[in-house]
Amino acid sequence: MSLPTFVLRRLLQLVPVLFGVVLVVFLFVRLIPGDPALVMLGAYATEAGLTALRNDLGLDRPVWTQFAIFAGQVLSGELGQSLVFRRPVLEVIVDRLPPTVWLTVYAVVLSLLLCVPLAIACALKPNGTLDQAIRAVTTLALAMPYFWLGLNLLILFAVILPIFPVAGYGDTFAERLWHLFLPALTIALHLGPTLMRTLRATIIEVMQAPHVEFARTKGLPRGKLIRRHVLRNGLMATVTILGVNIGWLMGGSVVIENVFNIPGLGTLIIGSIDARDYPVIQGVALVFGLLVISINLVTDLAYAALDPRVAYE
Amino acid sequence: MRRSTRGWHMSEVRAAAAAALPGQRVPEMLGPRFLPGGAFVRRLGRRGTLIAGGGMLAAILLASVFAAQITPYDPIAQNLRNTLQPPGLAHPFGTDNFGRDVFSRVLHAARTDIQIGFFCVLFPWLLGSLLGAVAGYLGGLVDTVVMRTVDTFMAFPFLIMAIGVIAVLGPGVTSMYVALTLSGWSMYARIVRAEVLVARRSDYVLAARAMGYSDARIVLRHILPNVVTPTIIFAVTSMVLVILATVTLSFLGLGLPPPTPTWGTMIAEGRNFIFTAWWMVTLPGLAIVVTGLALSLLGDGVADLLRGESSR
Repeated sequence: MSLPTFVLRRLLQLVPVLFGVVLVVFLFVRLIPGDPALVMLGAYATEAGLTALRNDLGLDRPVWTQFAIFAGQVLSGELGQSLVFRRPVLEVIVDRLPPTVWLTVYAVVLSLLLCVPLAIACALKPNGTLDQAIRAVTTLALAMPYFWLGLNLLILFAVILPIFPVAGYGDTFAERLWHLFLPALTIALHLGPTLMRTLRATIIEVMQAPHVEFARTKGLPRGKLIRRHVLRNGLMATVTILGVNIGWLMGGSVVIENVFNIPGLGTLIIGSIDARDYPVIQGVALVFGLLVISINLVTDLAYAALDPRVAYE
Repeated sequence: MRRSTRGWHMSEVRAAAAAALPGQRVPEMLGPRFLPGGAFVRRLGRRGTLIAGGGMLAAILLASVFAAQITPYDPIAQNLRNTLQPPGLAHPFGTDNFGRDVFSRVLHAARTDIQIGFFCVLFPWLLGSLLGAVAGYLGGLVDTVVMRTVDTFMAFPFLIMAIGVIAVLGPGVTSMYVALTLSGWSMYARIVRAEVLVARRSDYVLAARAMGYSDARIVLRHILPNVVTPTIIFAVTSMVLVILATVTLSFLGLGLPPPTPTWGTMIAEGRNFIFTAWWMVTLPGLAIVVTGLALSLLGDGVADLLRGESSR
């Protein structure tokens, strides 16, 4: 299979998944027991408001027509009105997106800074002292609820030793790096064990590959060997691991935003559940689903472009 | 030569079959993967992690069952003259903002949390395995529909899916079961389907079909018992993730309503007191860490045991 065919096939595979994601998000609200309009507007519903909402959602028409209306609205970027903010859902989401993106990217950078050197050190001496110690720490970290880890970091480094702020998001670049350090570190520690383990295994495998064996035989210094031959392959694997775990990473940021009171999508969706703001819940779920799908797509395509073997399989 | 294959290792069975049928393809799986007791028990002795994890979990379960005997305090009764006491001799984990003994609440919560965790592993495993087996066995349109549904469910981040479902159904234990089943079944379906695609062509399924058995009987009685091991491996290794997810949902206020103690809600209540009462957050979390560690050791141990039996 050539690269263009691969890309085309990968894009075609996306169609049913996109359809499914929109369908699931549509069903979220339609499966509410009783009259969705009444549930959505709550105790303060007026007859006029109810009629307007029923009309908006097309509740008086057959389910398939309702879905067609919903899918059409989604395709044109129309996600309805927030019942709490009294603004279009899309606007609310766009407002709340930057902190989530900031947090996620920051966390990925921190976890790479933490894991790549450690994974290389562990892989160079498998079952050495460092490797054993790291294995114990990652096992412990995997058993830890990360919201609890975040709260403890908060108690340690914001309450007992007041180095970092307790909550908030900051305005300038430097302020954000400082405000988001503890939450990003929490997510990085949450992602770390998985990244470490996969990376370590990959590097050990690459170290035994013929081209590395050859480079070693011809006498290439170890530092150069690792930088040029091992790390390159290892980093490609890292991209894949991050792509595969992007859903997990986003789930992590939803929870951590709530721990540190960061005004992102995570606090938005949890707040909307309390307020029964269903259009916003639908919108955020849809955005997360689409983000995961597109990031997976980009990872796959990048991988196929970097490694021609993928497309030929 | 041994007459009975009882207690043989799978590789021995396959080697014997290969020797007896020269030149023929030996089916991947000959029969039930669960060999009778002997080999299973013998391997137990060598598995340190399994024993450590199982022991820890047993201790936690015993402590929660005998919670009323271990600590004299009622987990729910409030004592407003004794609020926010730091850990000490009378209250090893301190007291909370209603004067309730935190240690007693932690012990009583264990039963609820472990029970929720158990069913949140069991239900997705049942649903996913069944759907995966049906899809793999029937193929065609059913297979396409099930597998596209799997793709869709996998596109949603695990927690987002769970949060979305609970948002619709309202917080509570039943919603939690539905949410974790819906967000967890897809992986099992994928694993079982892949195994069934292989098993479907095997000799024992052909034999069962030749006997005139119904499709339902072949899937339930013949195929599923033979392809179940990889799903159990996945289930036991994901136990710790599932319990952490349920605790997280409780922490976000999507689980049991107060005053029933669960670890997640206790930590959530403690959040408002991090400036004055760190023990309300830190100590209940330790219970989760110990449980998580027990489950991950136990899971790895069981998975190793099953892998040893099925692979090679």
